[in-house]
Formats: sequence, C-alpha cells, structure tokens
Amino acid sequence: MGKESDVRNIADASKPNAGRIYDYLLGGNHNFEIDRQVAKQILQVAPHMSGFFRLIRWFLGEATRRLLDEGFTKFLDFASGLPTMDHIHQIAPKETKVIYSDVDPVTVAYAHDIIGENMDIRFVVCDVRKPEEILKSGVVEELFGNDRKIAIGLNGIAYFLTDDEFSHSVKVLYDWADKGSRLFLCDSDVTAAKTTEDGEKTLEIYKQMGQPLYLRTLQKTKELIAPWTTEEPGFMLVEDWIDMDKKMTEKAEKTWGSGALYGAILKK
Amino acid sequence: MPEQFTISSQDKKHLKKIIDLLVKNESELTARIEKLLISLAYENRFTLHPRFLKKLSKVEVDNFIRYLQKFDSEKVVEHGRVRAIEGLGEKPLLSLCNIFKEFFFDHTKTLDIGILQAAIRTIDIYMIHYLLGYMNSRVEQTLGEQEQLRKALSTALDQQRRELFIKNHAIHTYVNGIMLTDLDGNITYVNPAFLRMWRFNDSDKVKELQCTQFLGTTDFGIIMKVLKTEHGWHKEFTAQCKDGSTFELVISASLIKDDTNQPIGIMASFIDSTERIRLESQFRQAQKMEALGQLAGGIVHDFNNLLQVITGYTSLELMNAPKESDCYNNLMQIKVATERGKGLTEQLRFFTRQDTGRTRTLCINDVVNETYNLLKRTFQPEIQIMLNLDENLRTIKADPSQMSQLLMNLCVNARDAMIAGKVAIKPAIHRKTPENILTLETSNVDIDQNRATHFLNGKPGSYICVKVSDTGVGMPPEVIERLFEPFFTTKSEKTGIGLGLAVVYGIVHNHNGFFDVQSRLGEGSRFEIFLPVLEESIKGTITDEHKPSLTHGRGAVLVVDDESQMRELAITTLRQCGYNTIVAENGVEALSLYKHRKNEIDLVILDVIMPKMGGWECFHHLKEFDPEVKVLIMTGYTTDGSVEDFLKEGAKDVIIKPFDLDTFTGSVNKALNL
Repeated sequence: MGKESDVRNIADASKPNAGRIYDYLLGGNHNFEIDRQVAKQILQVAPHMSGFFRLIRWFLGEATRRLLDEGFTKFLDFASGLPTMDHIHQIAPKETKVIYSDVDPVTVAYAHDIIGENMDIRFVVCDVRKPEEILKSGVVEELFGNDRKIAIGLNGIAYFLTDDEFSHSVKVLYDWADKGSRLFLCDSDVTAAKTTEDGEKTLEIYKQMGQPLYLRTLQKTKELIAPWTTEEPGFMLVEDWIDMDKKMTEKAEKTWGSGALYGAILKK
Repeated sequence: MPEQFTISSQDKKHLKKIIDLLVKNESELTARIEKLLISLAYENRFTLHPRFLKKLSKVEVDNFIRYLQKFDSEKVVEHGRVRAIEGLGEKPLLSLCNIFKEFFFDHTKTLDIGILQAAIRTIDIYMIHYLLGYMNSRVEQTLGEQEQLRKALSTALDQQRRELFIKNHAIHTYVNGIMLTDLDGNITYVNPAFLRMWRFNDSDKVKELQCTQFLGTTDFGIIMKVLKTEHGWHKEFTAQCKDGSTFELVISASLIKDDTNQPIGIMASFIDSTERIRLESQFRQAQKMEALGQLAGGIVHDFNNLLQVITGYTSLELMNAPKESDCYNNLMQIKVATERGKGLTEQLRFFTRQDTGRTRTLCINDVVNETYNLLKRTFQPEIQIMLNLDENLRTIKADPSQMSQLLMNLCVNARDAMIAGKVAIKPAIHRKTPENILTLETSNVDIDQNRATHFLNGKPGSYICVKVSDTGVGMPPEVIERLFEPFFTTKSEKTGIGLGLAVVYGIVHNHNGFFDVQSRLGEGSRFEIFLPVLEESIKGTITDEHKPSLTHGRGAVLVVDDESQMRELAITTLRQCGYNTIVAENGVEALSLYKHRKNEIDLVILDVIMPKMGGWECFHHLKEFDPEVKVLIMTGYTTDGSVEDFLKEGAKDVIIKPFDLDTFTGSVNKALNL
C-alpha cells in the first residue's frame, strides 16, 4: 500500500523519518539522532514547527471532544501515529469504537503493544491515499457493524498528499459514509507567491527525506474537500478552535510568508 | 526523606497564616497560574491539551494548600508523577515555583518577614517532592519509550532478517545457477545449482577462478561494456564442465544496482538448455518424419496397387503356364521380384504408421527371448548378448510381428556399431569399452507428468520399457538428429538401405509409445522404447498365423475399388473361383448399386481410399441401410480406422494389400459363410 518511498521503517536509523521527527518536535523519545539533526535543521528555518505540531494534535483532541458531545461513538482515523495519551480512545469514554491506521507497519506493530487487549480498538496498516483498502478489508465491518455514520479523522496528513490524492481520499470516504457522518482535518493555507526563503528551505528538507510537502491555499482545500461540506464554524484557525492566542500563526507568517493552520469539521 | 526536606518547627508557626493567605486569595493565585500555563502551553508535551490548563491551575493551588495542611509529601510526589504523565513541561513546572513565590512576596509585604521566609522555604520543600515525583516519572517515560523503540527496532530487524533470509534462500535454492561478482569480475557467490551444473564440489574453488571462464568469453571488458549500455548480457553456447563433459548453456547477466542506481556488482544466471535443445531437435525430427510419412504413405498406396496388379496377374498366369517352361520360369522371376517389392512396402508402411497390424495381448519378454535365441544363432560369437528381463513385466497390446521387427532392427544396428568394418564413420572412434556387449532389458515403468515432459510425445502413465544398449562406437549429435529418417544410413550401401530405424519409429508410434535415444561417441548407444501397458495383465504368447489357400465358392460379389486394374484383377480372380461379380468405382456408386440390387448381392468387397465417398463412410451407410450386409474390407492405406475398428463395426474381414490371391479368395469365402 502507498508509495514505496512512504513506507519507511520507523526503526531504520540510517535515514530520517518524518514521523520520528514529528515525535521529537512534540517532545517524544521515539526518535534517533539522525531525526533530531534534521529536526534541528527544520527549527532553524521554522522555529515555530514544534508549536505547529502541538496545535495539530490539540485540534484532534478538540475535534474528538466535540464529536463525542454530538454523540459519535465510532471513529476511523488515518495517519494516526502512535496511540498515546491524548489520542482518540484516551479521550473517549469506554466502549467507543476506534480504528486507527498508519502507513508504516512497524508503527502499527508498535501501537499494538500500547493498545494491548482493548477489544474496542483496532490498529491496521493503511495508506491514506487508498482508504478504500481499509473500507474493504473487513475490519471496519467487524468493529462498526453496519453503522456507517461515523467520525473520520484526516488530521495532520493533508499536506503530504497531492491534490489528486487528497481529493480521491475524501471522495472515497464520502461515498462510503452514511449521511450525518463527520470528517475532521487540518491543512495549512499557503500561497506559493509569498513563500520566503526559509519556507523554501523547509520544503527542501522534507523533499530530501523523500516525504515532500504539498502546500495549497485554503481556497484550494475548500475545493478539494467536495462533496463534504463545512458546518459551523467552518474552516477556522486551529488556535481559535482551542482558544489560544495566534502566536503560531504570526510566527508562520513571519517565517514563511504564509502558512497559518486551519482546521474544520466537515459533514455529509 | 532527610530532615532538611521537612518543614521546620519554626516555619510551622507561620503555617496558619500562610494557609489563610492562600485560601483568601485562591482565585487570584489560580488566575496567575492559569495565565502562566497558557503562556507556556507550547512548552508542555503535546499530550497536555490547553483546554485542561484552567483546571490544572486550580489543581495546583488545591494541592499546595493540602500539603500545607497535612504535610503528606508522598501525595506531592504522586502529584508530580501524574503531572509528568499528563505532559506538564519542565519550564512551566519551574515557573510554577516562581509564581507561588511571587504570590507570597506580593501578599506579605506588610507582614512579618518570617512569614515570607517560611512560605518560601515551604514552597522549596514542596517543589522538591513535586520534582522528585515528576523527574522519576519522566525517567520512567523516557526509558519506557526507549524500550518501545528498542522493541520496534528489534521487530523491524527481525522482519528484515526474515526478508533477507527468504531472499538469500531464494537464490540459494533456485533451480538454475546463479553467480555474483564484484565490478572487477571477482566471483563473490555461487549457488548450489551452479556447482552442480559445472560439476564443482566446493564454491571456494570456483571463487579462485576468473568469472570469464563461465561466461563464454575471455574479455571481461566487453561484458562490462554491454552491461552498462544495454539491458543485460545474453549468450548461448556449449559449455565444458570441470570433469570435461559438455552441456548447452544459456546465460543472462545484469548489473546489481543500489538505491541510488549505482552499479555495485554483477549477477549472472545459468540455465542448462541441453534437454530443451534435445527436445527441440526431437520435435523438428518428428515434424520432418511426419512430412516424410505423408509422402511415403502416398507412394506406398500407389505402389501397393501396382504391385497387387502385377502379383495378381502373375499368379493367374502361373496357374496356366506349364512348369519347366521358359514362360513359367520368367513368371517366377517376376513373382520373386514382386515379393521383394512387397517387403519394401511393408517396411515403408511401418514407417508411415499406416500399418494396421494385428495386435494382441502379449508379454514382450517372450518376443525378447525369441529374438535373443535368434541372435545367439546368427550373430558373431564375439558379441556378448546380455539379458536382463523383469520377471513381473506387465503385458501390452501389440502386434508380435512388429515387435519382433523392432527388436531385430535395433539389435542389428547395435551389432553393426560394435563390429569393425561395418561402420562407415570416419575418423576411427576410440571406444570406452572395447568389449562387444549387446544388452536387452525390460522393466515396468510408471512415468509421471514431470518425467513425461522429458520425452517428445511422452505422456504420463504406466509403461513397459524395452532397452537395447551397446558398447559400440556411439553416434555424434548430427547423426542422432537424422537417425529415424528413411533411407538415412551410416553404413555402406551393401549392408543397409536405411529403413531399419524408420521402421522402429513407425512401429513405436503405431503402438502409442515413445522412445529415447542416448548416445555419445566412443561410449555406445542406448535405445529405450516405452510402450503403454494393458489394463488387464493377461499374459499372451506369440502364435503362428493361419494361412488360407485358394478357395472357390458361390455367390454374387460387389467389388468396389477406384483403381481399374485392381477391379479387373479382383473380378477375374473371383470369376475363376466361381463367383458372379458386380463392380463400382467409388462408395457412392457402390451404395446406389447395393440399394437397388440388395437381394442379388451376397458380399461387398470394399476398398478404403476412394474419391467421392471412401470405404469407411460407405461401410457405415451400407450398415445403416442393411445391418446384415456382409462386407470385406480391402486396404493398404488408411488413416481413419484400424483393422480392429472395422471388425468392431461389423466388417466380416480385412485383407491387406498387396495380398496373395489365395488369401483373397480365402477371405471371400470366409466372409460369405460368416
């Protein structure tokens, strides 16, 4: 599943890995020296990145809590990473069904150790570019039964997908889900014309890792999410979702020229 | 806990005041902490959501107050531990200490300095317990996470090891040869199939050699040039093994490249194509034989008809010619010559696989024994004839005379390969075994699908195998290629016309068998004939054929043959024997005549190959019209039915051209009386 360049072994210490870099910038210990070196390069050109990554995770928590309040008891999450303390199943009450997925099979194997014997959780290998594979695999039906009115997470992954891939993924999920389902995601609002030299350097670092970033304007994101529609409050700065000051947005614009992070909860 | 980490009795005197200050200004302190924590939200781990910072602020104040009331340091340690798990950052934690101190500084300005000092010392002790729990938890977390990473690494390494193991074994157990070299041509690895192919026991010995030795070229530079510029390097040639034996080889080689597409080595695969080439050669030969068979078949048919006419009329004239007269003698010469011609067409008929034959159940060992006895009497004494027969040999369905012919032809060839002067192969061949040994063997063989593919026309099943081997001069590949062609021979003109093995070929195929020939110059030859066994193992023996004599009779006979001379001969003979005759040129005419004159006609003599409507079709129509019709089949060429098939369908008898007139009239009489 997925492009061969994306299926990187999380434990391959010879090459930097975006997931491990992300973990380091979030303050974790699941990383190697090679990742920390690259992370420091990123911080040199984008010192706000660790804050950005925290915002992305906090948005997941925020979206999850809101959807729980709306009565959702089934969650399907993509590019989940490790199911640590703040993840969906930790926030949600017991018996909430959660399916996590990630493209890296070792992350998945790792995650199974963390989840243990929890029968309400599944963690499977799946590339978010091909969500149809998890939908057809049987695990969804096994855990959710025939219920397709669910909450879907595409958090912190949109900028790793090309426009076509992003559009395909959301469309497949839309076609599969029942009316009333929700999809939460965040994406940056980047205008290429305004990107600074530091912004270009950040892009180059990710490109050299083999995990290029595909940045787009918010307007473009709104086009690509079709046929999902936004519900109130629509696309909002992630800081506004969690009542934080706009420190990170200001830093992003200062460093990159643009790149504020927006989140939304979409509906079918 | 050491004494310096407990509240002194002096400080305890001020505790009530400190607690009162905290309780009275709790909201203010909570707000200060909340403001601090929110401003430092990004300094926390990602697991601490900003939504909880307000609640956390209250918790911090409550916890501090509780400590001052109860001095339960264990609870503070636990508090620190929990905060670490939740994700409170170090900077916010240390800033918390300052917030507490600032609070008391602001609220004790007008009070006894001792209260401030007591408060600060109390805060320090509180933070020590707090940090103790916090740091212990962080250490556990770090170690736990590193342990998780170690496990992941171990899992990944296991996975990589498994994949590598499979890949290594894939090459190691691959059925064809694999050789790896570096970019200088030094051999770094060969798999067991390679060693077997080239007859090496030790891969280390191979690595000492130059790779060009195995690649069919002496110039490694050329190989590298091709590899760099084209899609691999390919070559086919005859390779020589370590032990001197040769085999046909197909090599493919390509560069091994790393992740950056840079060459790091060379991989070559070796396929032994000897068997494929041999089968291809056999296939070409079979196609050639098929074409020759078609050609010869046509010749046999026409020749038989001519011979029949000559034989027939000669016999008729011999009956009338006075013995001892010149005419009689001349006619006898003609008869002898036609007999020889008959022998020739009989052999050719074997080759064209058009000999209908008379099969019966028999054990080939009987034929072998008879042949052995004959050979012992007729072959030179210096030829040792060995027998190795399976006593439990299964029975087959075969024509005994054809089996005898087959064995005899093979044995004669074997003899000629061993006796000097009879073989015309030059230059002189050095024989591995100087003794002249002819071996006849039989055995039961079950051939599975896999083995069957090694033989041209081979099919899986149960067979008997007749093996004829000799220690003669052997044959080179170019001779083996043409072995079964009619009139091909390596002997002198006087000793053979080259039909012997063509006959063997035809007989084997007539009996739904197949064969294999192995021969090497100087090492002799081995012919293996595989014949399918009979389901029921009933032993049979060869019996003599019954030869009828010229017979007279009565009745009306319809003679159907497209050859006018054949018709003429037949009716002349029949009339002489007392029969009435009617003639037809083809099946259509015959059918029409029979329908109109059914009550007059007692017997139909039907040729098989005719225009408009052939004998087989006509026979079926006659049977449909009149199931009681008596039909005698006359044939020397058929591709759509064997003798047994005609008899099964209701023919009274079948006679094979060219036939003797006494056989002919005997069959007529028999058919009429059945």
